[in-house]
Amino acid sequence: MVSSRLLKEYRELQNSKRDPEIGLQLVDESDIFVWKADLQGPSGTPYEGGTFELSLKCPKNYPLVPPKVTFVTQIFHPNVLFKTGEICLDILKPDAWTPAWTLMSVCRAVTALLSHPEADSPLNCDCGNLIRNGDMRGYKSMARMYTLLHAAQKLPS
Amino acid sequence: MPAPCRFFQIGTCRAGSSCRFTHDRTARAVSQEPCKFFAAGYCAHGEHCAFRHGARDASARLHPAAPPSSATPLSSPASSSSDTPLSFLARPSSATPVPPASPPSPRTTLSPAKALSPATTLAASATSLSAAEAPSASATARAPASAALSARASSSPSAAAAAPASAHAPRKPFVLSQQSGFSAAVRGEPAEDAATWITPTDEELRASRGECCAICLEPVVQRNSCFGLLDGCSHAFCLACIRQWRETYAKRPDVARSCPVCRTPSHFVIPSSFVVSDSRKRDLIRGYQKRLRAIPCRHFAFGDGQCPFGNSCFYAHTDRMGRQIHQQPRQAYGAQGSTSLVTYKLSEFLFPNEDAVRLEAIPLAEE
Repeated sequence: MVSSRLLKEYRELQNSKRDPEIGLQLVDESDIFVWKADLQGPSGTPYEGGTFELSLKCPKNYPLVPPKVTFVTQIFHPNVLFKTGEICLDILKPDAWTPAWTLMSVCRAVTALLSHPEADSPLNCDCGNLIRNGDMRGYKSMARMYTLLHAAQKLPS
Repeated sequence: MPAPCRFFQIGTCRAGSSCRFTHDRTARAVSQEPCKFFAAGYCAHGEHCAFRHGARDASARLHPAAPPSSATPLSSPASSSSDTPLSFLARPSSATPVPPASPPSPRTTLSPAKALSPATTLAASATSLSAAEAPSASATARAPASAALSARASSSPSAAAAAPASAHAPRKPFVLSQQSGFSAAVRGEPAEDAATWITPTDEELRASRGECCAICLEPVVQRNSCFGLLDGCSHAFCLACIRQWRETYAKRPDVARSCPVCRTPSHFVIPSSFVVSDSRKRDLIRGYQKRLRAIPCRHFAFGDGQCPFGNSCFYAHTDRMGRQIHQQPRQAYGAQGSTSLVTYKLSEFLFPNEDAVRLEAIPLAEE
């Protein structure tokens, strides 16, 4: 079932108009289990203007279990582990995942997470503490800095 | 080459890739042996049956005068080729052959034995095809469903007596199957198709064709698999997909029993070859449960085992003679607060060292 489901998602992706904000694609055309996505930072957030690469690895029993999703690009976000890019998102946990989600909807959920950081379950404690203490300015400038450092295609002059 | 897996053919093989039988859809009908269920009127495997289904119009028919005990199909050279696919032959239930009823007798007979007498459980409801429906244009399209209906119609004596004696009209006779639901279940006939208890309307069939499974994202009908409907919500899935999902219950009890789309918890999955609307779903569920009640529970094992579902089990809890057993399972409480089900048998106290003294010694009533 697994590969047929992924093939179906792949085919649907080919047929639909490419979403420039998500840019989901196969890493290697010969391996259907490894995907990547280039997320555009949502506007109105410190991540705006950055392109964040996301790696999606589907286990063999996908879609019964969630794909493993990590950020490849370093990002300063309370729910993303700064060193590894691990994401804390409920739908990516086995006990909240349902097979009705697709890789595309997972990417959309991650984009939504960028615009709505959840400081109460932080993987990046420094970032979480900034937000929890109300220092939004500090958080925004840190996030902006890392976005410009790692995710921006070309630095604004 | 191994024989085709008949569970896979109906979309319910649980062995998956480790199945000993082939999961090749093109592999078919290795056996030259004729299918006896087909000969008796209805085979639940349909075209996926591993046994040979003879040509419907000629070879799989029994002659009306055939002896009631014959289980193998006899080809009748005298059969007329003008018969529609609906015409199977009657297998009379009693010793006296019951002539097939003729269609122009609109009647829906309900056997009075509605209460689930264990031996004949399902067969209790004998529903004959209404004559108005049978010859209609859609009759051919619905032939499998109608045939299924009639195959389940048992020939209770009252129904047989009600059948007019103008019987030798060769066109579209009713099917009067000898097999009660119980014995059919014992012989391994799967209870998989909802078309057996409610007939899909054209609109439902049309809606089913467009329905996609939310798990594999494929259109279920085109994938040639069966729908799995949930009792809690109206979403439809492939039977295999939703079962696979619900089997992960041990790992994630919170979500596995809920709908993948809307997260409404559901207690069971109803197999169906089409999707139904909410009001008809109750009929569907009732028919499904009724069908299951004719099948002996594997956990209960005729009283030898214990069923964790107790008296609310969907399957039949009967002894080997077919008598209903109402047994309140006793709960044993462990020191850690765990509970387990235990059953005590009188024989265990009478013969404490002899495990072998069990009901196995008693021959099966059905055989």
